Amino acid sequence: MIASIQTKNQSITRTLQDFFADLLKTGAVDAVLVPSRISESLYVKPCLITSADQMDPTVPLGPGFFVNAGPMVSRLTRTKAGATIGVWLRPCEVRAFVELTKLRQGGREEVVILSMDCPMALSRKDYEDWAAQGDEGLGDVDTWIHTVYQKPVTQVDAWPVARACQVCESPYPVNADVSVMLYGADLDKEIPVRADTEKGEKLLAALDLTDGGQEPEPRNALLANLTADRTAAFQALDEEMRVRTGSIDALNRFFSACVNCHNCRSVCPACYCKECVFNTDAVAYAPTQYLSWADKWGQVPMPNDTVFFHLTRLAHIGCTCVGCGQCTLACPSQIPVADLFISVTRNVRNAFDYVPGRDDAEPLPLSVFQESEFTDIVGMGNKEVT
Amino acid sequence: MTDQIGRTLVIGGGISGIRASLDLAQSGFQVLLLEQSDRVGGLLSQLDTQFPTSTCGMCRMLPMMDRDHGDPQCLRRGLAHDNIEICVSTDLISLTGEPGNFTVSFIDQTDGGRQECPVLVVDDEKIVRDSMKEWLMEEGYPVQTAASAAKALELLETGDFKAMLTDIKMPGMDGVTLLTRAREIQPDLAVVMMTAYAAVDTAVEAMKQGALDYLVKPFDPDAVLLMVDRIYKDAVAKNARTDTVDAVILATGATFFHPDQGINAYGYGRIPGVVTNLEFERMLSHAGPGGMDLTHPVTGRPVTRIAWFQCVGSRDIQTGTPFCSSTCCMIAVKQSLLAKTMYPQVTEACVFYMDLRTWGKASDAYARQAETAGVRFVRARVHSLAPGSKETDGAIPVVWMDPSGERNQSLFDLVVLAPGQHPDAFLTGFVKDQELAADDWGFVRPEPFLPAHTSRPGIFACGSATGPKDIHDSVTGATAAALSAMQVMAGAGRHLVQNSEPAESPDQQAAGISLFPGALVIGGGIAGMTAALAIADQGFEVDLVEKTDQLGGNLVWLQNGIQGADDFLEQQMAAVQAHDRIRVHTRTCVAETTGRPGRWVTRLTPVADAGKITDAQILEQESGPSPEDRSARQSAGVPVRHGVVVLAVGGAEAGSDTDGLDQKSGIYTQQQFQLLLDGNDIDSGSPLQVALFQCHGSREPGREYCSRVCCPRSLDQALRLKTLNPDTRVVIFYRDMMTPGLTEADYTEARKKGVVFVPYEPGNAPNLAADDTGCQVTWTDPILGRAMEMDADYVVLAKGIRSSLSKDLARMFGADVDGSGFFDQADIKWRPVEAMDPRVLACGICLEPGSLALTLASARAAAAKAVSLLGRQTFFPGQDTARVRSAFCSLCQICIDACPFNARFIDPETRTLKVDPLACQGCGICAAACPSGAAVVAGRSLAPMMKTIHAALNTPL
Repeated sequence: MIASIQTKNQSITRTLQDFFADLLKTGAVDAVLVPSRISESLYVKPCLITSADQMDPTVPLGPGFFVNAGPMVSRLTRTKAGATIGVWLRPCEVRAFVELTKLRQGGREEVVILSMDCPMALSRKDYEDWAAQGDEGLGDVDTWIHTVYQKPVTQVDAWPVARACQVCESPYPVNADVSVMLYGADLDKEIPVRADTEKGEKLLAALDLTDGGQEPEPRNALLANLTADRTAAFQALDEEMRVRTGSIDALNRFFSACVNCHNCRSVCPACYCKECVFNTDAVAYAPTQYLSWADKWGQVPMPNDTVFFHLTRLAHIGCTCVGCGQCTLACPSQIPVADLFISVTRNVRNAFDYVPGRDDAEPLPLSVFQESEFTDIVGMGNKEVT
Repeated sequence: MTDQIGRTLVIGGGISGIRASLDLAQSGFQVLLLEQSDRVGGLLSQLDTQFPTSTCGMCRMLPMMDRDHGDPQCLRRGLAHDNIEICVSTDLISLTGEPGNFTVSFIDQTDGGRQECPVLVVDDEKIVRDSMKEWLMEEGYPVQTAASAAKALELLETGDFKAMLTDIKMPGMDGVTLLTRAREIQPDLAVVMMTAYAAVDTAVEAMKQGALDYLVKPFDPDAVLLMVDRIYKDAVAKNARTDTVDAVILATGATFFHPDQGINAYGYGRIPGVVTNLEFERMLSHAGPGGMDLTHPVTGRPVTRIAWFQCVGSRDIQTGTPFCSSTCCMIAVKQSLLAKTMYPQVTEACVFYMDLRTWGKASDAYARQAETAGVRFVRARVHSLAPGSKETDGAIPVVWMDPSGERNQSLFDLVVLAPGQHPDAFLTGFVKDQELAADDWGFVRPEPFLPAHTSRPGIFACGSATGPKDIHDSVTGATAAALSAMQVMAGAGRHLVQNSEPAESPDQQAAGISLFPGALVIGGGIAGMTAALAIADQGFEVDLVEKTDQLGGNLVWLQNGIQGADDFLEQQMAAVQAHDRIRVHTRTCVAETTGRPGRWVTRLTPVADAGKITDAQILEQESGPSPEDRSARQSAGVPVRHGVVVLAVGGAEAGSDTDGLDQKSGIYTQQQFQLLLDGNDIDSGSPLQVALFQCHGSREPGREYCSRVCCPRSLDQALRLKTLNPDTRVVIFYRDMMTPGLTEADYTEARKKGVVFVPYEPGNAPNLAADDTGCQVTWTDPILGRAMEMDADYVVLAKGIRSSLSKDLARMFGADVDGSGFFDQADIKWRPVEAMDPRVLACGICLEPGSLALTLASARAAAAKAVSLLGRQTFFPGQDTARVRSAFCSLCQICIDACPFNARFIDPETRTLKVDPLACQGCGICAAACPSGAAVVAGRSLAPMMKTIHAALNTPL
């Protein structure tokens, strides 16, 4: 079912705010999770809102993306809350949540996932510059929205979007209950909304939205072009990463500014461990160990285990990385962490023909035991005796 | 006496002895394990690999439960278990007593052993002196020889001897005079007279003068050894240790035929490059003398052409061995496959055989694997070998005739002989001393329908002591023997070993798993009934589920075809029905099961169309519920709580219900024909023409295994036809006659009685042309090369056995079926009656195709395993199973998905992840899958792995 929401005052932001308020007012949901400004600052974070009159600071669409909300939805659904929550998620946030549900870190039962064609994001520095241009401490959201949904772009005005977004091949909702279709839509007039599940249909019905809308006519072609551009961009990124990180030495140089703050891990929606192994005594070496390494290698950078930390994370999230780019955004040392992670993990996933977030029922490849698999790599299960 | 721990004597430390000992020890009984040689492991410790894995898997038979009570290690190097006292280099001196109270005496060879029993051999013939010396020294006796009585007296003056074997007729002083003089010098000397048959009177006379006994020339080496053993045992008896045991398991194995005995047509020991298969095994071994270099033992050059000769001292009237040694064919297949795949240098690997005995469910496929790898199989028996010459560059020319009589010759660098298995001197002596029933060749003869029982109560036998056996049958038989010993100990009121202090830490205790104290046996055939009775007799509750309306399974139709089986079946059925611990549920099947393994709650449901419902029963149903119906209805919905499950659902003749066989034209399946025979429905007043067609639909794609029972059954049918009318023409069309072990005797008998055997190759089977009047069989005779035909009155198709085990049923309990539809064993050789989860057992022909004897053995083995588990009830994780560090656990359950053994689960009460200690194999896959280090295998910490990574990267990261 596809419905149409009439645009109010030519403001997509206002229209969506009203839409969320209506969800609460009608009782279709008990709470919504929407990005919202914190204390009128320029920064937005997903905020849980139960009152329809708290919508003003929310920024449903914009280039600000400093927290992947996937793990936040997981926090809200770890155990039954007895309430229905409408969660407004970017596609990469939906993917993150789906992966977390496979890892039993949350469940879909009590959430309604509302997702949208992605408005992309800016790096922190660019976001701050962009925000400074506008009134009220926030940039020109309307211009942003009107620019990014009309044709494939990699920058808005002077601001290039984040590299992760430039190579993202699935910037549209997958596995959501309700999909808001913005690419190619006549945004001054209407926002087409599609219910993808029974739950979604019930939600739209609660707002008296009927099957009167349709998918914007140019949307499919636009998405095809966009995806093609991004595939090309990914291949360029992949090639670049092979050059920049193709050897242990190169990898060391790539991460040379890393100070082991572990911010990338904190913001990563795929990292779900209760306690990271890098916080345990597995990496608490004896002083003599450091000295013997120094003897052996000439020097031991302190803190050590920086690249080792990233390699471990790559091993752990190789199949579940959703490519949201939060790690790069969070890095105080300006290391393009996501570039490497996106390049490596997309290749890993291709090997297993696995796409995170694609299907709730698709098992995680590295947790499924298969006796003979990749025998050429593991050297086992090979009947030939050498 | 009744307040004792049960204790069993196991004689022989080969794999049968080890298996029986481990089964008893795991059940909590004590074991005294005596082994004559200086190590346990027997023959297997000399083998590097076994089929079908082409690796050694001996350690797979180590305990799966309470593993910390044993010392998990390489079984080829040793064995250790808290409850097993192992005495190697030990000689049994005497064994007397009765079940529940045997007295055994034995002596450590290093402490007054055979070294303390020097033997003097006196004979004027050098060959007698030398061969006697060799035989006796091989058994560990110090031997001196004397060519005359005078020389003997000289030696007696200076040396101390316990025994003297002397010839009677010698130049100079004769043996009788020597006897008198010798006893003057050494009054306690045991003297044995050696004499030709003609002079037996003199020998008897000599016994009156103090000779112990006499031996008649020509000697049987075993008789000489037995005689000396007797003297030795008497001499050391006073130093021996004595002990009491409740039961005895004889697991002494067999010895190999010496190929240089007799005519030695293959020149073993004479022609360079002729070796035994055991010697060849050592050449392939990592730990062998050549370090795996496949080089010629004499010239040292790389070996490129190898021939295997089967049946050396087996299936050979000349060497007095009319039986098959059962294992050699598969050894040759394995060795040829390994040689061909491990060594690119090997260009020719050729097995010369009479019948390739790939019986059992995995062998045939393995032989096909060898064929695919390029091994050549030639059906021929080579007459003799001559050494290589200059022209052949030292290679041995092998000449053979193909079936058409054509002469073939090839050169080989090595010829590997397959010497047969024979009873050894110890077994011969033991059988004699204990007056055990034995067969014509000296193997212990098991009691009918009790495969592990000898004719002496309380003394059980397993392994090759009861006839040549492979690993699989030995391991199954050993566990069955352990059950018999357990039954004796239970009957004598013996206790289990009680650990006064639990070895388990509080952590371990918390992770312990308790089993429900009962067994569910599915299938009421002879396998299921045998298992149910054995489990119930040991004091556990059993629910026996049978889907048809009667117990008995295949034995119901087969009972008249096996001597005594009808009475046996009747007894077993009565015993099951009368047993107060067995609840029989006929016309019932298993609907579903819930709960964790070992704490199963299984719901039973009545079968709607239970097997063959007769008209009478239908009438009964209309007039009111029959007693069976009521029993089925009562069973329905009542969940059975059980800690182990035994799958014994049986099987049926393959293909018989799908093929449209035309009995009008005389075509029957083997089972149908058996019913005709048993019903005396065959009119053989005038001679009949009967074709028995082996492997019909067997051993070919779709049913790629040998069913093991059809060849012996066909021979039985052929012999019966010949008995009915000796002029009846019986032709058996076969690919390989599968008559392993002692069943070979029937094959020989059938040939003697004039049964004609015609081999055929797949794709070239005899042609059947049936019409209403009969069936014409046409074929090309391989020897005449000519078309033959036969207007058969009966054509009997041996179709083999298929399993009735469904995937759904197996998977309900976390087990599975294999590629051929039989129960998927944890390990086909080393854990033959259990799934990877030891609480899931199987027996009978849903486990593997086999005879009634094998079915009974597997049923008793499965019961032994069940009893062993149920007797312990609570199990604690061993040191090498996985643990959970709950503080780090995110409950993501990746480890549950990753665990191939279904060993991990979330405890609903504590909401924590737990490990099932009986299912966990300690493989560490969980630890690899867990990103947070919450899944760990004790003893394998992260630190060494971190060091390895650091070292591999060799740079500061």
